Amino acid sequence: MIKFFIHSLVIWVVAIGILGAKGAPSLFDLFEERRNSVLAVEFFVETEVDRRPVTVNGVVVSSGGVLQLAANAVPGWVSVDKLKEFKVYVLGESKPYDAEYLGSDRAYGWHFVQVEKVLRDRLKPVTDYPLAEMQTGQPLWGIGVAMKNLDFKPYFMRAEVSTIQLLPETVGFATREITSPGSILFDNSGAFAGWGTDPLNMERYLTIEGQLYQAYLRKPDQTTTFFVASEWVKTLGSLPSSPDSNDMTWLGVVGLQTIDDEVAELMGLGSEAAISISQILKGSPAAEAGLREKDLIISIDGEALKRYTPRRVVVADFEQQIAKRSIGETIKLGVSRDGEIFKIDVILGQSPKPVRQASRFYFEDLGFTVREFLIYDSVSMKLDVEPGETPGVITSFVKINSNAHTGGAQIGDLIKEIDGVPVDDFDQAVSLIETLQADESKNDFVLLVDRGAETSVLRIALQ
Amino acid sequence: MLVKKVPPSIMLKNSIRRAGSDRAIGFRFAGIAWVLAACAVLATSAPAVASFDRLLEAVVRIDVRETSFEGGSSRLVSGVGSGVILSKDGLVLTNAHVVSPQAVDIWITLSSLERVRAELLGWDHWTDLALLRLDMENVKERKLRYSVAKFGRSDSLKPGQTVFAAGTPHGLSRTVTKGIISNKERYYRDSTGIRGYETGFFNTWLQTDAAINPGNSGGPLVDTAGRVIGINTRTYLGADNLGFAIPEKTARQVMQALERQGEVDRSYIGISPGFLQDMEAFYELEANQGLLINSVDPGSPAAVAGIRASDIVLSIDGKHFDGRFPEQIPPIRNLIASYAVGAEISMEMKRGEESFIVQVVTERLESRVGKEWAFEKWGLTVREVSRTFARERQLETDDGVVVIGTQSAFPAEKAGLRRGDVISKINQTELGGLDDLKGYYDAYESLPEALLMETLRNRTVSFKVIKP
Repeated sequence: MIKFFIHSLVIWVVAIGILGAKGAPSLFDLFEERRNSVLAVEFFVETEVDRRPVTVNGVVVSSGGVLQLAANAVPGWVSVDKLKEFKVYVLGESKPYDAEYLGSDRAYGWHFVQVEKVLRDRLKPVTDYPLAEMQTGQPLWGIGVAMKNLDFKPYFMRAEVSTIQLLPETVGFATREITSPGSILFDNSGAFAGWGTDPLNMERYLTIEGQLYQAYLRKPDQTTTFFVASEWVKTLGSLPSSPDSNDMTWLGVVGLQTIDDEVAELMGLGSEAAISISQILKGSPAAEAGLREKDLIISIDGEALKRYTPRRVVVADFEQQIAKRSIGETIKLGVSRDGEIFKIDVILGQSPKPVRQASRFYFEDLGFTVREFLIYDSVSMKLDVEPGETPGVITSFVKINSNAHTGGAQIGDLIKEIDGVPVDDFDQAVSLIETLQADESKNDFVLLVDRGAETSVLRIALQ
Repeated sequence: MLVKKVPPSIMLKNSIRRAGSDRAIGFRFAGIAWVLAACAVLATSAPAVASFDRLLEAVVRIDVRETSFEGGSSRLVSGVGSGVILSKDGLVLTNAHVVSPQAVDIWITLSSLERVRAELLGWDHWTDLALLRLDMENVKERKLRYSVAKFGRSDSLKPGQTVFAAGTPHGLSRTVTKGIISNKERYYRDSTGIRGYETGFFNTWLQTDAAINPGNSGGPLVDTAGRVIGINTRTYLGADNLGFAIPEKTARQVMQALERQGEVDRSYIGISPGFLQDMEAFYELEANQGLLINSVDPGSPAAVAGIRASDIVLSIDGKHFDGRFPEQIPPIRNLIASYAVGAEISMEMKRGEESFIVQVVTERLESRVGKEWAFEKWGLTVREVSRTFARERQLETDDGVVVIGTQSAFPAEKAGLRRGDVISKINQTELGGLDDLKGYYDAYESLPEALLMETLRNRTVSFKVIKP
């Protein structure tokens, strides 16, 4: 009897085993569970004259309802208070939930959004799943996200791993579209395989009436490329202290270029990877440390720069390494200058104010916005500005057919004088214009602006 | 041999297709008809006076082959334009964009349909004029006959007056189109108008509605008596009946200088005038007086003298002028340009409340386009960096050369050089200019060895290796 019982137990165990194997979750079940790790995110970018809606996908990265968005999901030049009304949608549902913008990651630029409490329990962090191992040819499936008019309905996509590249992030390429940008993909066992990036531009040729055109096409809502999950998860976990914090490190070098192999050889650097510096900003950590324009960087903290294919990734990797350090940290750069190789210690500084933090003032009656001058402007305008020097204010917006527009103001103009008075700083510039506006005896005023290599005198009507 | 095909209808289409990316200016040379089939209306209503017939017998067709340095090698391109004979000893006036100093051979077809060679005597892109001379020995030998056209007076033209544009768009028959003077002082300048060369800074233009078609340019614009009152130059693409001609007054002066010395000496002080238009109140000026300075070229004589943007020039050597409107600017520029190079000019200036006098010593006016050359084995064509080009690009010096073309699969292209790159150093040594580069090229030709080039694209420094 006992024997029989034991036998039948064995049989049952085996049977359960077999049944269990048969009952491994189907792709349908995996899909139904994993679709709760992606949400559609909607917000508005407010400008002087309109509000532009933005819709992107975000992946759930923590049980606290934090979503991660791609680096380019939020325009970098927009000040945080002009990002309005963050909402999220569960895929396939039309009800919006409130969400809050948390800011961005300094090394990779990802953006973070936190959803309201009531929704958090329904979400499944992507980090809960095991990580897939990647091999060329391996089957993958992903979650595509439909447009808003289809309630962001999730749909199933399929492809295989085509190749994997270090750029310098580990990026996977699928044989065809595998997910939507910002959405996720898995292997057949349901292990997490990757996070969809922006689609690649596909080169195409068009012939119209016998005329050949070269065109680059991309799908807006589907992608073949993704960050490989097993490496990507290592970059998670650093939330910014506040949405508008600026904890970016700063070296102060501009125009970094990877040196070609042949150039390196001719310069006696052998087969080492090297980066040339085009420009060093005055007063920057690089300038303080004694780096010079046209120096070649060959190592960082004793480690030779990694060689990547394509070579330009060497620069991306170097910049990322600087971004991952903290402000005040000392790095040791290996430098080659005129054939001599030596090391230079650089104390990383805090990045100068980014464009999104610049002060702005919109003169509604005149139809233009002036923005504070930033270090970055001196780079784009090719000005040699001493640290702390303000050569003027920047015209950052001009309304069509406004007085400013009629008077010839253009976006990007550097305003140096306002009605004959030199501009010292942003506040003074704003109050100068406000005073002119309040002066009833004045019909117009004159701006002296720099535009490229030219200077122009503009007359702006006040009425 | 490359022949660009741009029949009129396609030109229009092209300009529309490119509208977004191209400069907004829709001008295009009516000039050289790079095509055999240009449609032109044969005029049948030319006034029946003998002088007009004589004029037509002075109009010639010009066939040109010239060297082009675009695209990484030197190539021959060909074109067709018109011209007018203005002296018994065979002087032919045409456009600078029809015949350039890079011309290798120039053939003139007379109205008798006889063909004779010509040589380039002088060239002035600023006014879009070129002066040729027929091969007179050959003319005498073959006893060729032609008429000589006479200049009229562009100063005495009246808007609305009837004019005719003559030219040889097909080459064989003379074509005349009829119109009126629409505007006698049209302002138009283009800093890259003639294959990258500046034009229209020192003259205004006659505007006419007489059709100027491809092949017509370089031909004369004449009054009803057949007197030359202008040289047809360009048409406004996308607009109807908008043709431009260089006024006789300018043409006559430039022609004299070109005959005498092959070029026009002009002075430069480095100011870009603005239009005072309605700003007199702000500058507290007496009515209708003064010239606003929009910008001052760094390092130029005006900058050295301390002149700044937004200053007002009240007078030059005691001469007052009115610079309120665009068409008033070229004569003022011309006044400055007509000083001898190195002359000292006394300028009465106004800055805010204060008035003062500065002395400015002029320099020779230079084009933004430097000398061009092809390095065939590298598949590289370059242009010397000029002062103006350096300033436009905000380069630190005017040393070096700028790439204007590379040939695919040649060393320069393989090294990654692209149009617009400035080559500043070779083998870690500063490159002065074209002659230096020719030196390196000669050395390379006798012993091909890898060459390290340092280049600037915007402000980004790159290193490129040219290797055999």
